[in-house]
Amino acid sequence: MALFVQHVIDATTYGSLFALYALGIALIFGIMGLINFAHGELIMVGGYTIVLLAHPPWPVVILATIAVAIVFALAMERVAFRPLRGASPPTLLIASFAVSYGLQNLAILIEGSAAKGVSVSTWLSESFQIGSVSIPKLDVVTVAVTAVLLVSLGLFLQRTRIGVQMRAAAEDFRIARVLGVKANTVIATAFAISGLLAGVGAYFLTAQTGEVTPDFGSNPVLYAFVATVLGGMGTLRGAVLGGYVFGAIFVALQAYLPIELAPYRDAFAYGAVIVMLLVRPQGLVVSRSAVTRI
Amino acid sequence: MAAALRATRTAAHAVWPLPALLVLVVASTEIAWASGGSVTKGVVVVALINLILVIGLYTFVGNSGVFSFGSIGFASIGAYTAGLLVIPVAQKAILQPDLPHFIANAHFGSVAATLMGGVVGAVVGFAFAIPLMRLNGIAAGLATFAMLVIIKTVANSWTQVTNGAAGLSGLPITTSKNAAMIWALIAIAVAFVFQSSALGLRLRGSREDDVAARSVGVDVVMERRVAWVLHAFIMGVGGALYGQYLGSFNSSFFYIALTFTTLAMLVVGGLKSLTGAVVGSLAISFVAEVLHRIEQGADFGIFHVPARPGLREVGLAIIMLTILVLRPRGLTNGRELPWPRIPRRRALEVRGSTAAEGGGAAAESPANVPQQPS
Repeated sequence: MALFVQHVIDATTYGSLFALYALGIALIFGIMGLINFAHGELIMVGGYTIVLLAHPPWPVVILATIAVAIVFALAMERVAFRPLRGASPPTLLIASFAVSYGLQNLAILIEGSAAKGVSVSTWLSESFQIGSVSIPKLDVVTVAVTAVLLVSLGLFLQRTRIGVQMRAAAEDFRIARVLGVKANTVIATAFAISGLLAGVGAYFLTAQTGEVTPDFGSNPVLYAFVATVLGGMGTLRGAVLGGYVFGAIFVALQAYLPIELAPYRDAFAYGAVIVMLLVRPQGLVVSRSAVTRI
Repeated sequence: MAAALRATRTAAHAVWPLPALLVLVVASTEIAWASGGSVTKGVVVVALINLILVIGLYTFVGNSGVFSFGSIGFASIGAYTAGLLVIPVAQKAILQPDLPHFIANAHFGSVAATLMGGVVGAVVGFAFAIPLMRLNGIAAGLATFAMLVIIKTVANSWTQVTNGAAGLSGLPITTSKNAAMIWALIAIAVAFVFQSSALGLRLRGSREDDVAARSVGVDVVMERRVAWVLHAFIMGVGGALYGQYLGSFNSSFFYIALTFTTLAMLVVGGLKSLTGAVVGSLAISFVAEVLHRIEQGADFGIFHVPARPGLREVGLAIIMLTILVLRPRGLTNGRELPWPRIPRRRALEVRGSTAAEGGGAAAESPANVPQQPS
């Protein structure tokens, strides 16, 4: 029983992290059809910010991490993706591949390829002890902060003017522009929010791993792909649901896969992606704009 | 007579890119080989192997218009297959005692092993082709990427056969410049014949307009499967040659970095033409080597440039983005090498003089001069 509770806690924590990563990708895909492979590099940049600023009090570190990730997100939109607006999704995917590869190697160029260790917070690495179950404080904070972010993002999209415009753009970009939605503002806002999510994700990931490398963001973004495909490309609810479903699958594979198959965990996860794309390409939550038009 | 002449000329125009590309590859290989020291020689071999991989990628992506981010997986399979067949039996017994018997006792020559690499690549490719070729656009991109991760994970974890994260070592190094060049020339010829075949043309039709191609009876999924299996074979051969050039490798070598390099070569050259694949591959190999020299640091008399690891990759990423923005259809604009034209004015003079000799319609106006087919 205690073991099962532990698994549920792990699944919720992983699910929250995956939802956080996936949301950053789904937000941009919904509006401009770009699968932003370079989202992982926003997380990496956030990680390096924490390494470089090891000493100031934690609110400063968090704010700086988020700010740097947002700046990079806006810069990558302006430099790489704005000139390509309207290109086909595969072309955009290749471009984001190039941005990701360039930034990763820029990190090697500046910081070297060796891992940089950092201790984020001693408080976060402690655990709550309830009976025989120990719950790391980091897990509790991750789940709580993700929940707060999800609710605020929901409110932002429902209640604010720009939020409504973003939803309109996600539904039909061309018609939204005809009705006076400013493309540049909407897309820049989407990138800024994805930068914010990446910054928060970077903080939790760095607190968990305790070190940062140039390919720090690769794994999160690969897992985020799985989550977005599971949940349905282009819907935010789908990305969040996909994140939590994948978190559960991830922990279940880790816990219940026979020992000789355990190293193949990622192969099973990506096998599930292929099956999902074939059987239910629209994902668990169907976006209204996902209907193929000829 | 005139009709026969015209037919011959049309045929010559159609076939012309093949000999031209073969000559281009041989010439640039020999020039690079002759002009460089011992460091350059390795670079030339790597460039030729990358050329084979790019041609493999082109065979599918260029003809079908569907992106594959997973093709390097077949190169990995080819490299492991050929590697296990060429490592001496005695050495395998020491390094990998758990190998299944038929692999442990197998020993092939380099050429046969390379072909086997292609065959096993094609067989695995066929297995993936059955479901994957039904997908289009972004779903195909994601699914092929998922395939790459699956192949990499298996190669990294199937310790009994692949020796796990340590990878294979002790392969006899048999991929010389000439071997790589001959394989590259064969790959170009195969890709050219395929794209000119009826099946290749039908597939290219579906690339331009999927719905229209289906409406005239093109079985798009089936044609894609054939192209996919052929491309998996070429990738497998390229991977096998890579393994026999490196001597030792592991699963991480055939992963995202190599995927990026080969895709960059194809996109920069222009992914709709074989000329684009060849030109892009040669151009990027050249630029990458120049950047690599700078990256390693150099002394220019008074200037000292310190070593900068990562510079080459950053440079490649910038070049690729620039090409995507400024010339989205690549350096060749998606065309094959054009038939060398005679400049317009000279063509007029020649025509005028022959007409005068004929004594007939000398008053042919310039507007009536037939345009050279482009």
